[in-house]
Amino acid sequence: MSTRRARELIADAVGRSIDTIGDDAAIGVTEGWDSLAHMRLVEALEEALGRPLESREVISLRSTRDVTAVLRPSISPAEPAKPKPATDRTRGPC
Amino acid sequence: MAIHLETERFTLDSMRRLEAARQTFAFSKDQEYTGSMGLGRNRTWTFYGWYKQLKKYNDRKKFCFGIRPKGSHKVIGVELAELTAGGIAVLTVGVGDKAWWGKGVVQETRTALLDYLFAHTNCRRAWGTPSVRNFPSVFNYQALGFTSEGILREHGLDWRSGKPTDHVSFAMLKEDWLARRQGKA
Repeated sequence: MSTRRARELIADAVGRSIDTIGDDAAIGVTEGWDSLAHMRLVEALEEALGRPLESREVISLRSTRDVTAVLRPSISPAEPAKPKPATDRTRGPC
Repeated sequence: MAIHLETERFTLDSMRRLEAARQTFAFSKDQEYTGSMGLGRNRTWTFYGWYKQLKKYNDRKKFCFGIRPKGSHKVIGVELAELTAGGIAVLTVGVGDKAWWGKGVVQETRTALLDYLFAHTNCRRAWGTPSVRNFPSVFNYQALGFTSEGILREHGLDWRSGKPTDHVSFAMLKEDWLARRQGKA
């Protein structure tokens, strides 16, 4: 289930159908996974988790497997909704 | 003589300080650009002040390449590198023209820059330390195969909030770059 959720988030970020995003989707492999898509993915992950990603989590994100790993501890239908954190991102040209 | 590099879509021409100031002064009006380049926010730059904050690029140890789409005279961004006597290059890039964000500019131009540095200078290691919250910058290093060497805790200040923020060290060694390029040749 967490892998499918990861594929959903990646598909939304790169603007493609989930059917085109496999378990092997990754930076440098998946069409449309550019710098802005990556920013959208990180922001969507933070929204899904209800918290900012830790630095080690941010730099770990390169593939479906990595996104799944970040999502996994939080997949629980019974969990109460967590407060949405203030967005604290730096979008930069460099 | 200026250094001229070409990629599939862009030309990169080295610039000295005054030319770099002229070509990039328009970017000084953009807080996202100046903030992400570590130049602060909410500051109105005079041309002289913008000129003074640039380095004395000399095409030997300090490089500033203006990025232009082929067929255009307009500089859309800059690739910067500062090379130590020991052969270590610190990289910085800024794409001031937002129309080119998300278009793969940095991957293309940084590849050309690294090809040049590793082939024509004593550069043996290239590295950069973007803010972890600068997601496009982190992506660009990852996409080019840079190795994440560690998190620099509270190394900088987030330009929006003023709060301490972690940075990450990404590095590429010459032999790794050459192997990567040969693998894709």
